[in-house]
Amino acid sequence: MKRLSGTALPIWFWLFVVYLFLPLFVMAAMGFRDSKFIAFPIHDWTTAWYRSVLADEEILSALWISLQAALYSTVIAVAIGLPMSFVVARTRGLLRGLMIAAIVLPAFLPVVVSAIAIRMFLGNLGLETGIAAISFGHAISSVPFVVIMLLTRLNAMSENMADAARNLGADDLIVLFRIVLPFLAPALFGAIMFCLLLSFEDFVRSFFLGGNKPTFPVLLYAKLRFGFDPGLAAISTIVLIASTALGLYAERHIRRRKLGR
Amino acid sequence: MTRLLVSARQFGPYRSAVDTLARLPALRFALIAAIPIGWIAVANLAPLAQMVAISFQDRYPLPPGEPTLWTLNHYAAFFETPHYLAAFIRSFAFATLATLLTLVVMFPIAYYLSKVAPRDRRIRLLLLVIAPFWISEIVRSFAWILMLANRGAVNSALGLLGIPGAPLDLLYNNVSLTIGVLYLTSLYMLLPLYAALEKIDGSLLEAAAGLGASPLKRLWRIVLPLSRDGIVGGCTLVFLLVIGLYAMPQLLGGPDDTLFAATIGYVFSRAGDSWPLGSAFSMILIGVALAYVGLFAVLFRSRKPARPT
Amino acid sequence: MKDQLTRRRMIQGASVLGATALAAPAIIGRARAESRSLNVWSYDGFITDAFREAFSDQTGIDVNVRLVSDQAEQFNLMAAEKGDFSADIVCVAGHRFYQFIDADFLEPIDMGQLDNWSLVQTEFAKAEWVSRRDRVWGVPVVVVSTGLIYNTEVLDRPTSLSAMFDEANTGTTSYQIQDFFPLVMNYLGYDGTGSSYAGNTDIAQRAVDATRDFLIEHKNKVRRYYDAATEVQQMMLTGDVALAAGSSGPAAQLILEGFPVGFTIPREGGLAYAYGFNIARNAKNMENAYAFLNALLSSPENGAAMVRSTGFNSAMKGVEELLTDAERKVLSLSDEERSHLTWVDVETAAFIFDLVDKAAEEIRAA
Repeated sequence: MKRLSGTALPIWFWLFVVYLFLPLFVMAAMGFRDSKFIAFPIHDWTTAWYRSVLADEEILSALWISLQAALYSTVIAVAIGLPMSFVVARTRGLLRGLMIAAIVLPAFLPVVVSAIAIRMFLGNLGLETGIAAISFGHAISSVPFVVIMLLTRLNAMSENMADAARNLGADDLIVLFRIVLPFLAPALFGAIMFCLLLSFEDFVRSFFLGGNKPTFPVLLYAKLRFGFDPGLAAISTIVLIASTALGLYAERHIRRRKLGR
Repeated sequence: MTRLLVSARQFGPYRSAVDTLARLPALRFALIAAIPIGWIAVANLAPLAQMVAISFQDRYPLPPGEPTLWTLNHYAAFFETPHYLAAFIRSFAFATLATLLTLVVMFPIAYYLSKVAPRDRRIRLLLLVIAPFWISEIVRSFAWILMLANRGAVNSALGLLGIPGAPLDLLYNNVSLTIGVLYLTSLYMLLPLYAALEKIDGSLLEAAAGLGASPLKRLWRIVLPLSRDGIVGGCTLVFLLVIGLYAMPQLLGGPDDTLFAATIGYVFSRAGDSWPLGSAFSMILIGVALAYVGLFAVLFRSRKPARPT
Repeated sequence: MKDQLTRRRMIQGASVLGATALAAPAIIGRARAESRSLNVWSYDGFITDAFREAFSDQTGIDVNVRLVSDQAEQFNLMAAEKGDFSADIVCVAGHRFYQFIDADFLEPIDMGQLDNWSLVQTEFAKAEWVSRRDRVWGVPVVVVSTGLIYNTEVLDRPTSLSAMFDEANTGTTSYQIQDFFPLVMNYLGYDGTGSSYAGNTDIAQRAVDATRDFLIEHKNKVRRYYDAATEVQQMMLTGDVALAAGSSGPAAQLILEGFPVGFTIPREGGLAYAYGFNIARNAKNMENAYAFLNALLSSPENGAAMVRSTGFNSAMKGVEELLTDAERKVLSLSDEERSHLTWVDVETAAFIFDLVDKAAEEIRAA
């Protein structure tokens, strides 16, 4: 086991990383292709595509809208999913099964149907389309992911932990922030990641629920219609680098603060 | 945050409200339960109800002035047309296999990240693995097309190495489909497994090793049972993701790989009055998928007695 | 110190952006009620930035363009909006717009308000597919012809559709089923436009079934079925497909970029249809919509710009003179090829397309 975990596991992990990134390196390289299409071989190289997408206001504004929708929908989904998972964790038997079924329902609904249904529902209520509607729509599809993710740890959390704290005089909210959430942290991290990612790459719901300003995937699909040009490869690469940099920055920041305590 | 909450206790009404709730667990539970129940009603069921209604209508949208006719024809169409049923069964078999494959590939990786990798690097390694998922599914699919095509990266490399038989047919078949599916699902297996594995006490494993348990036995008797919640969670997420996959199988799969989600997509993409048929198919899909996942949940139910609340 | 500065600036920047974000939904809500705006759904490249800005400068009307990527998207969104349409102008393809008309999504064009209808090529202005129930329902802007796209390094110019079913091309062809289907019906001796069946469902169904079975029988020739034009472009580029049924636009873009690709209309015929701008039923900014269409039709320059960004032919007079020699060469068809084109018959389209749609799903699932 020691030998296995010492060599085989890291090798397996880094092979997986290569599998994840190899096609993306190809994609990044295509962004430098001096042509209107992406294909091998690359004869002439240019930085023009990278420069032009970074100056393209339409693309930047779409990215900004997508980022906002991702943040808002994540906040909503976690705020709903957290109490939801507490309730599920306390329920047993058939009732628990039915609750989980009702919660994951939107995730099994084909995305076109879900988008149309939410659009008509908002229309019946007389609500406007736009970022708020997109965020609501994305939250609906993210909540199941939050709940399932949190249950991976919540099931194992012993009631005793919270009870002990309560006996020491802490009120429920303090218990929540000091004991429950730290214990849930790895699952909460996963849940937040899923919300952000699902929202950021959703096309169909964003199209139906959005206004005149497109989200990034909506713009991408519209541009794809007339050819996959190196600009799309370039902007995808930039998104990859920017999101990774942001993640690493946040991680470093949090780690520093922890050490500082 | 805690400091804020502690100082809030100085404030009388807040303190009495919180303390009342602490004394009345039933009320507290009802308050917490109101949020999910309200959300399920408004966000999950109300929009769905409209589509259920549409699935029983003869046609929708109705041309002006025509009466609504109710019918079961669209549900019947599913059972009467063999190729719909074939795509449906293919979807479930495909989703099950894809889930198992993802589990087998990702379990060692989750184990490595949660137990073996240096503690202070874990989050950074996780962020590294998450990074590709920021790129749109469709762009990632095109990236794989560029890798696997006749004049793609892999075949070019094989050609340069003088390997006979190149270019190989790597695209639009089960090879590309498998590679592509794993590319989309891996993270949704990894994070639940990570969350579950991370809480397993390392000293437990060491103790078992000290008592002479073989690695396989430790995996089977300790690691797997303790990560059960993560396995169930990860498999559920991957399964529901694959059942709904649409663009990627379309871009990387072959002409014989049509899945049911794509069939529903095509029904909606032919415009006209196809909503009732598509809605009916969706209801069938949801019903069977929930039953299928439920069945597994029962089969793999924890044997621990339920904790009293 | 420096680090702190940048961080503070970032936070400031973020809060300003945050404030705009909060205001955004309100702005969108207001814009719709104002009469100085126009909401257009359009494909990318149909409305150039230059045209949009010039139009706004001249008329004071802001054009909000919502980019769409296919017909069904627009149809489904209009259906979901249930008559309270957020668009004033939509962009419907000629072979599909009977569905929009029959669902009551479109407003017939009031010819009295359209100044420059005479600038639409006569061939298209009078064509049957612009009108339904004796009214004109849209302004055609670009014209698409469907035929065969082939790799010139692998194949000679195919003259017949039979190349698509040749054993020699096993595993190297591709097509979009619905678009290809009528061509195969013609190839097999049936009527792909459906007009001669005159609503006789039995005969039409037999023709469609026979064509479907023929395509299933020849499924081994197909590398894969595609949906969007981008896919067929990419498959030609990567060498996975050597012969495909497709439309002129994507092929023209590849040829102009110097790839070894050719486009031809086989002797069994090709289908032609147009993309047009149509006015939504009870459009909120009706007058602005007509102002927009009039401006669009006012100069062949607008048509030429559209040709360059899409690779499709223009429906406007005088555009050809504005193109470069290379562009003209790629975009124009020989007289013989032109003679093979048949126009989608809108009156019978509904009837035949419904049958074809079902057959297409069966072919995919087979």
